[in-house]
Amino acid sequence: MTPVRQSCPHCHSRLSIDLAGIQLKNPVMVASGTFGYGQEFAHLMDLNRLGAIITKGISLEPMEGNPPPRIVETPGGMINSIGLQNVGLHAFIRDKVPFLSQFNTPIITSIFGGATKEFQELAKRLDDVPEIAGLEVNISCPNVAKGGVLFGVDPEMAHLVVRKIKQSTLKPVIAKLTPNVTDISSIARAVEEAGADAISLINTLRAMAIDSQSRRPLLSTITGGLSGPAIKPVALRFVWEVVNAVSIPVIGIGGIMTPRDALEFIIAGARAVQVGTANFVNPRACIEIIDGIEAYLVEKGFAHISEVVGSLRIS
Amino acid sequence: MNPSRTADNKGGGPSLVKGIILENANVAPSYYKMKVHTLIPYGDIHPGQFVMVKVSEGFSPLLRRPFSIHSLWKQSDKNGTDIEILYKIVGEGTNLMARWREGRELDILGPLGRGFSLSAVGGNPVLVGGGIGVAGLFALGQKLRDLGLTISVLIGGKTKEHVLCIENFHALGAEVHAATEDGSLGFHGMVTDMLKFFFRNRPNPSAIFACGPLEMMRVIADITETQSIPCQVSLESRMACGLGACLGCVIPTRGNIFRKPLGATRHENGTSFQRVCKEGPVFNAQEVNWERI
Repeated sequence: MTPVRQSCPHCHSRLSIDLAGIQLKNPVMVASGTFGYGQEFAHLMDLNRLGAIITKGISLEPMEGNPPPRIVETPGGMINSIGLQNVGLHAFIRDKVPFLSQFNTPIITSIFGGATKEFQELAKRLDDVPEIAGLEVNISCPNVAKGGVLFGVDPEMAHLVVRKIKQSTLKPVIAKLTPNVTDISSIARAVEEAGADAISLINTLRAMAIDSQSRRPLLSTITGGLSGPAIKPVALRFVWEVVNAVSIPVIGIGGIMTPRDALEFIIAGARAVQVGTANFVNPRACIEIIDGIEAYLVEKGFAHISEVVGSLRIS
Repeated sequence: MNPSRTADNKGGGPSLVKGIILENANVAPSYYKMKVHTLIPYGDIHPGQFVMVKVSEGFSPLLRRPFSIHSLWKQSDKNGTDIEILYKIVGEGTNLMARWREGRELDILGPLGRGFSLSAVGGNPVLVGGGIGVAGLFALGQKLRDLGLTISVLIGGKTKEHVLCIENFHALGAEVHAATEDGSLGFHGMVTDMLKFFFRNRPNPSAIFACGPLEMMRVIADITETQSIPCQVSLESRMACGLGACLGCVIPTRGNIFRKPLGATRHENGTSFQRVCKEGPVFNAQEVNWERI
């Protein structure tokens, strides 16, 4: 017999959803690496409003990240090459989780490893942290030499790492995919078969910028990952393809700046969205997007956000 | 003066507010001074802190632009804070800003970052500015004047058109020296060369505060390290959020080799990279890893 789920105060809202077993009061989350560990934004917005917080990617040991310059602005976007600088698992649990757990917002931890064993160890140790609602597995970072994206571009590797992680934790596992592949559907199906509870995409698109005056690359690592409004149409196409390839929930990411952008992903079939670069430009972007989605539902006469998911009209 | 208050150079949390442009004046070829009234008051502002200004209505250009708070020309009151930004046209964003007129509404995030640490400053501090770097030093000059200190200011620029704020610093009662690369005003040469001359007559400044091109600050860091003079530099970096989240603006520091003069939390991130927007923009010169920058 299924136990009756304790009702949460937001469950009756138009926006509340169940995402792979995680109860969200709305489908708008902050994307990993764009929101730090929450502290940086707490002065400027109410973190309780967010659907979920995906924390900056965590590895077993602290990582130094790439040398500067790490970012460059491009038309309608920015290219970054941060290189997963992070405090490491131990400091994350000790210093960052207590702050985040004050809020009535699920914490989803982005994890990153150079080898399957590291991913497993991260999953195992985070499984012991009750404040963490779920894991997002980053098999898609374009900016680190070791591992990372290697898992995300090969269906067998993607399958292997997700399966190993699922064996190491009971928490919901979201696989975050890279768009830098030829056939996204095969990767999506591989992680679904491996037991992923949801898929989020897209991570950044590999990109490059050059200063013609000095003839030098504008990033220390020469190439980086493009984000921002410039990638939204590409991201939307990827989400559409994956929605049609799998039956697990898909989380749309890529250049979402406004409520309208978020709705496009939801109409394409995303159950939820993540807002990334917009947080840098407007720290209150997520709040405006949440309010805008709600206003849209009211205006269009939808009783619940689920009515909009995958409602693309093709005739 | 409460010493713990002066030691706190970080201020409270930033605010995201609307502001109204009171004035946006062309003060020299390609340099503008903008007075802004924020519609809710900023918390305490410390010299060296900065603001992030949204330069487009939409998302092109995408990112906010960082500017030092140039001057606190009026006390904050319950209706808001009046701040001044001195900027140079360097690209698309500042080009747009130069066209802004009085009365325009502004989306401005601040005050951000860690400003100059004034807790141990006494005697005769020296301010060294290069080009637009002088922008952030004027607020510091105002504060040092308020603390009753006599300051000397060395300002460098390519030509006399690039030497800013001489009169403003004079008005603070400062001793001001200009240097130009073409000799069109004051000392003929780099401001760092002028600094070496300056030290011959005034060998023991209590502290150096510098802001300008990277090469200028690198030389000043070297001189002050050799002579054991406390030196703080205000650094620039490409920045996306200004809040410490994107980790895009980091600079290499010397990590744990040196003691942590501004508090034990500075290396909490387990890396020798420090965020210009959060741990900075002001750093102790000897904390910066100039070889790696």
